[in-house]
Parts: sequence; structure tokens; C-alpha cells
Amino acid sequence: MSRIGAWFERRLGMSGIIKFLSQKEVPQHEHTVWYYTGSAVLLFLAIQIVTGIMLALYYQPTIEGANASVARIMTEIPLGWLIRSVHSWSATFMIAIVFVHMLSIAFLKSYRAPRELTWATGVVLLALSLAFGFTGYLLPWDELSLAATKVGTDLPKAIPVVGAWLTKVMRGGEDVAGDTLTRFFIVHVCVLPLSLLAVLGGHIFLIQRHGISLPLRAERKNETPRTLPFWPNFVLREAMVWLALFSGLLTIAIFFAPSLGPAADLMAPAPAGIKPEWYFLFLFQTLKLFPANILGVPGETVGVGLITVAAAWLFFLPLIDTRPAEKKGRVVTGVLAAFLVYALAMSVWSLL
Amino acid sequence: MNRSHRALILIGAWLIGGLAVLPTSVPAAQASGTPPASPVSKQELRAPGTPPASPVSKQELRTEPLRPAPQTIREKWGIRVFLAWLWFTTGALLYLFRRLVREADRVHGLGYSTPKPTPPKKCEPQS
Repeated sequence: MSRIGAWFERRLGMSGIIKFLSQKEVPQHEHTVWYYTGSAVLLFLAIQIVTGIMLALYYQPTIEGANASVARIMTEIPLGWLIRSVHSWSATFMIAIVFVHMLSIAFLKSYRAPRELTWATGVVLLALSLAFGFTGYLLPWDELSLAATKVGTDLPKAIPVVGAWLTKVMRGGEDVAGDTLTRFFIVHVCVLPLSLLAVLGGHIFLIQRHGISLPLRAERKNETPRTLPFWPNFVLREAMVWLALFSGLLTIAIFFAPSLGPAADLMAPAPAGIKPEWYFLFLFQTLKLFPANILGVPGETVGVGLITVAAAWLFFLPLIDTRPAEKKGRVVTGVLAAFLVYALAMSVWSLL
Repeated sequence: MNRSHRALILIGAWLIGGLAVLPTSVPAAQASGTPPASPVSKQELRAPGTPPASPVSKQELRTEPLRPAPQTIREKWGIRVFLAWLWFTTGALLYLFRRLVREADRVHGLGYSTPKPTPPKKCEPQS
């Protein structure tokens, strides 16, 4: 056994990583609970990858086959309905926890120097997660997903100069059709996973490079905080969280398995009550509030412009909030709390 | 073999048993209102040499949403048994992990956990 271990060690040199993990420590304080959200995202990502590969074995990304193949997965493939339900619900859980993870970091001001790039890669990961949700929504190819994708891919048209071109690239033509489905499928199963794994690798490297951040209060007082060994103390705690989340996910997936609408008809009018996934509801409702024209500029253009500004603010937050530690916090906390209340209110309004 | 090892083996055996329970107890759902397919229906309609029917032909008939739900009492009970097994296992594993966490924290508190990393040696100037 030792010879086999030595053989691998000479080729892989894993002892350095093992030594690093065995000596890694996690700060212990009243906000340590938020540290579990990062690994919970990884758990749901792993579930997404496994169930996604299983679904891709039977899925057909064509107009004729998409809806029928999903129906086949649900009715003929053993446990296919459960795999699809777990895939769908783990996407919901993952995006919810990504939001929680990001907000906890923002409220704790963990983006401060030298962790600006960790924050930036995190915002990119959020965008990639949302893109996963957007592209995956079309794949069942039912009436609702077709109509929602038409609305969603129409939005870039509001961007001046490049908008119409962007919509055409997304759709693979003038309208949502078979080429759109193929593009969305390729982006969903190939482009986005590769991009996500690359950015995630960078994100994890940066976390290891700078270590887990301390609470602002401890840093202000220049205290030496208590720490917890990563292995086994913190990993065992994470395992408990993973187990509870996994069982919760499976239970919800069994009781609330998503249904599948009739196959989309490209010639049919849009059905009533088109709504995107819950994480896009506040944007959807915000855009509905804008009038057709604001001082001669199309309302949709103003809306998309404001959303772009908000996204840029989020991305560059560590560079905007450069105040020293003793003054850091109040304005950003206020803005984020206001955003949270606004997003919740808009989402509820959209559902009413 | 101490008590923790015995508990781990028992839980492992329980988990593996669950793998046998899951496929048999949770069958595939069917469209609500759709009668279960007869075992001969897939074979008898296809002549030798004819390509298999595309799933599209089945799809064209469907105008109602497909709702995954157990169709029989046996299926419903299969799901209940599986969920009971799942949460019992989760509870047992959480209990075990809790004990391991307490033990790890106790060892850490005594100062017997992993030693602190030694600072890297400074490079000596080459003569």
C-alpha cells in the first residue's frame, strides 16, 4: 500500500495539498454559520451535474423531440420523473443559496481588500447560475417556456446599437425556433458548465489564497479570533448541513415534482399568465412598471439601462466602497437592505 | 473494532439496503388520467425491420399537462417507505456526525489537533 502511495505521490505530489488542508483553519465567531453557504452551493452544483448528465442521456434538443423526450423521461424511464424533479429543485436551491451567500458576504463586508477579485468572480458565478436557469427553462419546450423565452430574448433589443444583433445571436434567427433550442441546449450543457468550472476554480483558488475573511468587528479591534481546524471539525459540520439539505431536497422533489405542459406550438398565440422563474420575477415586474416612453427614450431601454447600472455597481462594489474599516458598512448595508426589500416586494407583486 | 466503527458499519449496511429499496419502491410516474401501458404494446405494433415509432407520435396526442404522481396505492406506499427510510437514515447520520463533532472539538480544545504550520525557512544567499 505504501509503495502504491509513494508511486502516486511521486507523480501527483498530493502531500502538499493534504498538508495544506490538514493545517487550514476557519475563523470561529457568531457569523460562522454563513460560511456553510459556500459549500452548500457546491453540493447543489454537484447534484445538478449528476442529474443533468442523466437527463441528457435521454433528452433530444429538437422541436419534434424535446417535449416528447422529457415526457418519456417522466413516464417511461425508471425514476426519470424523480431525477428531473431533483434537477429542477436543486437549481432553485442552488440559486437561492447563491443569493444568500452573496448577500451574507456583502453584509459582512467580506469583499474588502484583498478580496476584490474573489467578490468579482462570485458575481460572475451568480450571473452564470442565472444563465443556467434561463437556458434550462426553454429545454422542456412547452407553451410556457417558449413564451417566457420569447420575452426574455426580446429584452436585449432594448440595448442601443448592439441589442438587435444580440437578440439574433441568442435566438439563432429572427424568432425563437428550433435553432434557439439547439443553441440553448449547447450553452446549457457545454458552454456554461465549462465557464462555471473555470470561474469556480479561480474563485476557490482566491479563497484559499487569502483565507476566509474575519468579521469587520474583529478586524477593527485587531483581535486574534478563535479558529476551528478545517479537518475534521469544520468538514464534519458541513457534512451535517449537506445531509439535511440533501434529504430536504429529495423530499421536496418527491412531493412537488414539476409538471410538463403540452408541446410548444410556434404558430400559437402566447398563453395567458407568462411568468419567468422566481429569481427573475423582480426584474420582470420592474420592467413592467416603465411606461412606453420616457422623455422620448423607450421605457424598456431605460429599464434595461438601470438594471445594467445596478449589475455594474454590484460587480465593482469593492472598488466603490473603499472607505476605511471603521467607517465601512452603513451605506452599503442600507442599499443592500433596500434592494432586498424591493426584490421581495416586486416578486410578490408579480405573483399576485 | 470500537463502537464508532461498529456504528459506521451498521449505518453503511443500512444505506446500501436503501439502494435496494429505492428502485423497487418508487416506480416511474404516469400522466394523470393515462392508463398504464400494456406490456405488449411496445412490441406487437412493430413489424420486423420497421424502425421504432418516434416518441413524437405519442406526444401529438397529449394536450393536458403531464403531472408526475404515483398511480397506485402500492406506489404511494413505496414513496412513504422510502421517505421514512431517508429521514431515519438522516437522523442516524446526524446523530453520529454530532458525536464526531463533539469529539473533534474536545480534542481541539485539549490542544491535540493538527499542529500549527511552521514558518517557511528563509532562503540562504548562495555563496
